[in-house]
Amino acid sequence: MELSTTGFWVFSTLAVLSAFGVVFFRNIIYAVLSLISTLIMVSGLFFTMGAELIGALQILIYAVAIVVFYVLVISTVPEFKGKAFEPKYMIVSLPVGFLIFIELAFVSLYGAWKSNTGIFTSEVIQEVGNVKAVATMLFTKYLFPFEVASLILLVAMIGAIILGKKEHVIDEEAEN
Amino acid sequence: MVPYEYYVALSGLLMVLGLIGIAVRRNIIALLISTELMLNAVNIAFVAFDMKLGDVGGQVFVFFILTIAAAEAAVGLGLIMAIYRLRRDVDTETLTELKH
Amino acid sequence: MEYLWIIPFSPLIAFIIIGLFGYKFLKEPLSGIVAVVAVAISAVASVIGFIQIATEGGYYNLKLYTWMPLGDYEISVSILWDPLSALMTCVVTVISTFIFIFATGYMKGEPSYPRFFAYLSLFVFMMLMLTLSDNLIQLFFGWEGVGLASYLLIGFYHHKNSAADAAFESFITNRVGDWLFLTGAILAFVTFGTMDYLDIFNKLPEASYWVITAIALLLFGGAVGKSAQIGLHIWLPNAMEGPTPVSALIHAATMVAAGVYMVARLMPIFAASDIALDVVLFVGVASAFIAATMGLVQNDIKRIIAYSTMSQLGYMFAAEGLGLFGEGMFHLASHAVFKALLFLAAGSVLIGIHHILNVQKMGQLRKYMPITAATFLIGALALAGIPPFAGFFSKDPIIEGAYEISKLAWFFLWAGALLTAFYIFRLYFLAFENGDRLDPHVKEHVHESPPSMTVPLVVLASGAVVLGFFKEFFGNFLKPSLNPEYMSFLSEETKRLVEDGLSRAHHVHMAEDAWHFLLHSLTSPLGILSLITALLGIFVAWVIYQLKKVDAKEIAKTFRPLYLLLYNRWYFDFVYYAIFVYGYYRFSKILWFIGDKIIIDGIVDGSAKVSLLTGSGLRLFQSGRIGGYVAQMALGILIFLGIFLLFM
Repeated sequence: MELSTTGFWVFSTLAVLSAFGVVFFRNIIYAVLSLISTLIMVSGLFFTMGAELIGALQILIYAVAIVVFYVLVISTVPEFKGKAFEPKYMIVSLPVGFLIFIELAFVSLYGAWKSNTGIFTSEVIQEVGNVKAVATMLFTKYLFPFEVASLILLVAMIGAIILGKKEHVIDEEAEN
Repeated sequence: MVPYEYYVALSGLLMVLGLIGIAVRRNIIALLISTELMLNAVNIAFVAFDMKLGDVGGQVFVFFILTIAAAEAAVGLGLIMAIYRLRRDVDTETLTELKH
Repeated sequence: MEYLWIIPFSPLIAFIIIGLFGYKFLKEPLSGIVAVVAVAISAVASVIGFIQIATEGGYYNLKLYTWMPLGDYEISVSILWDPLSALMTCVVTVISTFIFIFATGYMKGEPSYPRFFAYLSLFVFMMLMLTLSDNLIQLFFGWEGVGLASYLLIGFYHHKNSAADAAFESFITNRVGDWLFLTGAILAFVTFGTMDYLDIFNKLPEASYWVITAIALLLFGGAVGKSAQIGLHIWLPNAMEGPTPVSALIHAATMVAAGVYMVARLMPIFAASDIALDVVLFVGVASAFIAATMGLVQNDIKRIIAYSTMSQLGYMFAAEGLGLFGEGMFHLASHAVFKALLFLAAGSVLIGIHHILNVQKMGQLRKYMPITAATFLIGALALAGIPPFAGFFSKDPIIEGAYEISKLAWFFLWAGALLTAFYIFRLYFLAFENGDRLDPHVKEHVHESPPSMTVPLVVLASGAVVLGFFKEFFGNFLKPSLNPEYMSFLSEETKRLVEDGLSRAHHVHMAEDAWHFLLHSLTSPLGILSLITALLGIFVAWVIYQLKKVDAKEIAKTFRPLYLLLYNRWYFDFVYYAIFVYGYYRFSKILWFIGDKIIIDGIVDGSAKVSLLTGSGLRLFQSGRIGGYVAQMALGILIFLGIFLLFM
């Protein structure tokens, strides 16, 4: 069996199992840990697909930076005491979700997908390397969206700071 | 090589799991986590189609999604903090102001 | 001839002025004066036009304004000035002028004085649009307009229930006729592609006989409604709820004559179909006779004259049905004069005795109101057909013509003449002569009317005396409009068609000159018979009501079923009530139940209930919980993706 094939099956199985854990662990800490697991597995999947840059970024940004946010918030907010799940939504969403999955799988297996049109064939990628290909694209064609994304990050940062400022909220409360 | 269809199907499965998570969880933080799951599903699909089409545009989009996910997590968690400070609660069953 | 536009628009301007400023600025005397001046201007203009066309001949067709195109045809506001319309316009404006003057006196002290004159002016405008029209659309506009004005005027005392009901009745009954008329006009447009009379006339030979018959009968249906002929006559007696000048103007002289005028105006269409002419004759004769019998036993002074109007209009239609269009129009003109006179005299009486309508409660009024009595007598003599008066010269030719064309029609018209003489003199004797039956309280206040009322009476009375002697003039004057040989606007083919249609009247020969006609009537057996008939009617009325040799009540008792039949107006109203009013009521109730209660209420209430139920159902989905919304969204994705996959 080829390495990438083995990798796919291993990573995908683990990713799905961890995803189940994210959804169904009652304890929010476990869920976050499962999320980390899922993110790492997805990063592995990226590597199997030859997207090294994205795989690395996945671990760096997602699995480290973002999850740290979650952990921080969870540590701030006291332990959630109520029921973890809403049974009536369970009844609705499980079969619905299953059927959507069937449909999506049907689409992915029998969909009339567009044929190969890109210039970055596997040979080209082999030649220049994934990182250089993505970076070339990112800093030429997608330069403006890239800058906008940085702006969004800045705005989100400011927004998060303002939202998280304790005194401000309390003042507002006092005014009301 | 694994056929890209498998990756797309896997992405569909993760997406559905994220949906179910949002539907059934009561903890508002778990809702956000499930959103991350769905974003990852989309990422997988993007990269899988890149592999299929011999392009890197999808990976650029994944890059953007990572960025936006970070922003979303920051703002979303900030909001959760604010809500918690106001209501002392993170249970979506009681946070039903949208109804009124 | 461009000045002719002033004829219809002068009353319209008066209507606008009085309507806008009547209550605020003009008030009582001034708004009446404005109306009188406006209608006098159009009277003068129309008389000038009349003289011009009488001397120069020919006809004028003025297109004033194009209203809207209808396919290839353009509907326009226009004036067709030929002898026929000139005569009718003159009758309308001149008689209106006198009635307006009379009304300024009659309506004195009325709170709604300006409104009254605004309506009157509107009525005259609409009537002139009708008479001057050169196409069916404008005719219909005027036709509906006079209907509206008459509705407003009959319901003038709208606070009185009976007046409001009568106005409704008139409006609705007219609506039946108008509907027929409109259908006929549309059929004419479909057939001929035009609404202009002259074009229609010249296209007549192309159309099939049955289509022309249908058009003529439908149009005549409108005339039956407007002229209160048998079948649609029930509104006219009740329309006497309006003020008396209105009755005189609308329900005697002008509006009810519109049907007669319309049939004469469209003479070629009617002449092209002998079935249509027969129907006109039948309806006319039936109305002439039946209305005269109804008039015999009524006690309301205005209603008697109203039935007489119906009867006389029947004579006009009968003349037209016989093919004697010129005689019919001449009778229209003379009838307009003496009937307006009778109505105005009745109005003068009502003012004198404070609106007591019952003739059984009048009597000896000649002592108190000599001018009114004298003028009324002249009108009555004219109506009865006594020689030197107008009615004789206009009515007797119809009866004599009928003798030569159809014996049956002659018999009924002759009997009608006898009854006419009887009922009008019954009214005269009861009101002005006879015993002293007046309420003593009323008697103290009885007085002759003011000059504003008596002067029009005197003028109209002298008109009723002299008009008959213009018989020859009118006969010759109307020839270019009603005699196919002289009608310059007809094509040769149409002329032949019309002449064939009118051939039934060809062998009727009557002296055109008034003096010769008078001489002929006094010498020929038929003429003497008519004369004796009229005198006999007067004599019988004199014996019964003046000398009281025979008690009217005894006669009523002896012939009780007949009396009841006549008194109840041949049970027309009852039958109509039973069939139409109650039938309609029942029908409406059924429709109300099915259509309104079940279907409409069902839909309305049902939609409310459905939205209530769906609302409370959908409310369950509006949980306020984000997860719930996402689950619903997922369901939607499932369904639409499923549809997409299944069917695409």
